[in-house]
Amino acid sequence: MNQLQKTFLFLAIFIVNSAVFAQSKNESGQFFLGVRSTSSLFTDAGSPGSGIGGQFRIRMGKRVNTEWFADYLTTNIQNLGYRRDGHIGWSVLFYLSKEPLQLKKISPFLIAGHCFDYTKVYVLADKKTEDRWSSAVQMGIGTHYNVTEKFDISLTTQYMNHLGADLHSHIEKNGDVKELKIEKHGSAGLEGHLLITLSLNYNLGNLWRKK
Amino acid sequence: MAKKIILLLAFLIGYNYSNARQLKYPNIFPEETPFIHKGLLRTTLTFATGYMPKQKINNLYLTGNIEYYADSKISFRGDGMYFFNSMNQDKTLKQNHSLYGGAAWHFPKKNFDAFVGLQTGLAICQLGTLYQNAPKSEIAYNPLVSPILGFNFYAQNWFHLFVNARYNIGNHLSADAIMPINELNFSFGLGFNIN
Repeated sequence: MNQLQKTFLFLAIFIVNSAVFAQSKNESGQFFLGVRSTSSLFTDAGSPGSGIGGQFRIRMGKRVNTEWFADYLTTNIQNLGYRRDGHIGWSVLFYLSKEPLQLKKISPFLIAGHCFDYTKVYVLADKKTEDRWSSAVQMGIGTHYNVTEKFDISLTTQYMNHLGADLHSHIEKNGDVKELKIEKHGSAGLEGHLLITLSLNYNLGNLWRKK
Repeated sequence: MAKKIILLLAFLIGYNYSNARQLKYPNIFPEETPFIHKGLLRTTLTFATGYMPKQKINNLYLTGNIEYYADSKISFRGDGMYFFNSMNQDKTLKQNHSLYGGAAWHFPKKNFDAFVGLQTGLAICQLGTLYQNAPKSEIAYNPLVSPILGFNFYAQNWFHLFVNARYNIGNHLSADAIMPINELNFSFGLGFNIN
């Protein structure tokens, strides 16, 4: 396990630990449902990707929330090939303000979690394809903005680090001709990407408390 | 003659029911109208036209949506578009169906309900013979982001007029070709609403 992965794990444990101590009976159990769009930066050959997904949140306490998500992202690698990514996972959110999720106010948070993912890269010219299943850890910052008491818009930036086999592509220039090359290595590398997610969420009520 | 009487009676019943509701709920909230309020459910089915600026083609769709108002200003909405054909005999697309989900923000004023919204979508896209380099072109599932804009006009308690515009942002990625599938869509018609 390298240093970066240790840092991810340490922060994830810290946030989960904080969740246990920050529990509050009043907010615990709130259920949010939302849709999201994610942009992926610094992936293959520097090409940005984008995609769609859905999520739900189950609040564990006043300052702690959990997010369960699924994303489908595609990347056009400079018209030479494409990459498809699927993510399914969870994150823990720790609110930095003492009174989060207030009407017309921002609620910044730290976020960390884990996901399982599938990646496929395809090269148009030689019809070569490679894929892999792996898991990943992600960590970052974000904020909600409560437009109404129950409806929020959220923006999150996370760095996702893959823990499985390394799969990446790069462009080689052969004179004026650009060629997309795929590389797959069995050992885990430091492959990762920055994910920026915009989501719309609605609080549907409390799962285990009656009003 | 009998048909005329039935039509007249149907109109009178509808008109009176609509007026009775307006009297019953004169002003639930300052911005809430007898028609536009929490719990309103509306649905539509109509034809839509689309213009793809990159390919310079016009497409024809059957489109429908269902929308639920969580309050008078926020609604959740799902849309579907079924691709018929490109109208100018272009062979770029064989299929371009899509599904969307998202939310809209409303600006209700009496019977008039202007809105803006944002949806995420998935296009089920297959290129036509222009790009086909195999016996069968690949069906690709392409994510879309789609801002929407429009208005509804509620004249009666159970139906309304609507005008809707959307702009799809996305890319078609398949073994046949890679191309943007950005498209401006426009639709209008009558929709049903349940209060």
